[in-house]
Amino acid sequence: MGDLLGVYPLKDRRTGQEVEAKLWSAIEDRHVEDFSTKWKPIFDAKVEELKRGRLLTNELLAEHNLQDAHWQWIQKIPERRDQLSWASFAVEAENVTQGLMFTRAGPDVRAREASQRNKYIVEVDLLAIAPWNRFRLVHEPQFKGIGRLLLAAAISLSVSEEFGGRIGLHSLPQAESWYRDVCGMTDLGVDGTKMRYFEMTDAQARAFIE
Amino acid sequence: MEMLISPDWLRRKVELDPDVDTDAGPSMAVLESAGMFLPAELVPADDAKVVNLIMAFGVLVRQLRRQRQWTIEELAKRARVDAEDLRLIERDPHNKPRPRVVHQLAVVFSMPERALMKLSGATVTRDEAFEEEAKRFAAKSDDMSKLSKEEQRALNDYVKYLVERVT
Amino acid sequence: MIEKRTMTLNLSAHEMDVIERLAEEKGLSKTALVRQALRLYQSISTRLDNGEKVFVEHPATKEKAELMVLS
Repeated sequence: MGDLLGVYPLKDRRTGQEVEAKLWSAIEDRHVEDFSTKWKPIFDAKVEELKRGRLLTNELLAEHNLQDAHWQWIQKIPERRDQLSWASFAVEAENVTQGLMFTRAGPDVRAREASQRNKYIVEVDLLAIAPWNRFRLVHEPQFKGIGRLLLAAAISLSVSEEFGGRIGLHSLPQAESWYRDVCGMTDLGVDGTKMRYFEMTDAQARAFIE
Repeated sequence: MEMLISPDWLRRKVELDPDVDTDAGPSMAVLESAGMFLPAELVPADDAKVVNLIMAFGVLVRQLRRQRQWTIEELAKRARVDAEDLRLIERDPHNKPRPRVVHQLAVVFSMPERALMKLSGATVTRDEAFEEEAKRFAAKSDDMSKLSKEEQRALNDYVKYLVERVT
Repeated sequence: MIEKRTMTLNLSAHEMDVIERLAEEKGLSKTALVRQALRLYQSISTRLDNGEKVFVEHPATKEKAELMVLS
């Protein structure tokens, strides 16, 4: 079961104030609950808005397969909780889940970057921020700092596993510049997942947490 | 496991971080297609301010290209991006260009990437002065194949502004 | 998770050798190595228990051979 890894200050963009956030070392039922009952309605509202503005047709909806298939994904969570390969993290502020992360490790999870090819690495399978914190979905996203906090958690996990802080992740298009230019990760290009893959070396990880 | 950062570290870093989404992971992409999060191309840039910025970005790219007397195809080759992406950038202010394309253009034109990210809507800004300058610059362009003297001057002034004054 | 427990292993000299060699190869402590091994063990075991098959592929010929068979 999860432990409290620490309490960290997020910035509330709307008020300019600091808000305390708790970082947990496992995704619990209440986080999954928030994911379904608090995150999804905001997305649904956005879809309705786009439909009303006729910017989202039924064809487009069908094409992107916008169904309730997120339940299929949620089914995976109990299985992942039991597997040692999977680690998960949750960020909570104001008693609501603000961010979630899943990472994977194991003898088959290895680095691809030339200088550390085949070395063990922690791979990020999911780094999801709550919709009210995302520019893609709301005009004035609320909390700042969740992504940075979760990345620091992944690096800390990597160090604790004796992987030197090495992490790998596939970025969504709108976050590529963040990972490459702000976090200082190496861009290894688009791979079979059709997403751009980034890796941090030991040195880059050290620099990030400085 | 032990967390290697302190609350103060986060506080310090967050101050300087850009305003940008940071989601990642193949599961994230799965969730996007499962309808949990809207894929980027379905979120139109309908905010009037963003549209103005993107229009200025398109003008800037077009002017920089014309200054070097490159065709769209040539720029596409040099920047290693799709010609179609460039056509959209130069013509459609409702199309938010992908950060990677903006990055490649910043490199090929030797322009400060942060400024271009702000201009193209890839990073969000609430900077009124920046928006004003962008609008002013965009208004000065004309649609001739060769840059006029006025356009050259306007372009050079605007580039200077982006390099020196924008963080 | 923060709370750690300790276990003593009774291994043959050969088994200890293998652990030491692998740990050195991977630049890990013996504990970290065993933890990695456990992950893989559990993951494959779960798949086999679910009725899935696990294969290895020959790098050149691309021939596949089944890794383990459930009896």
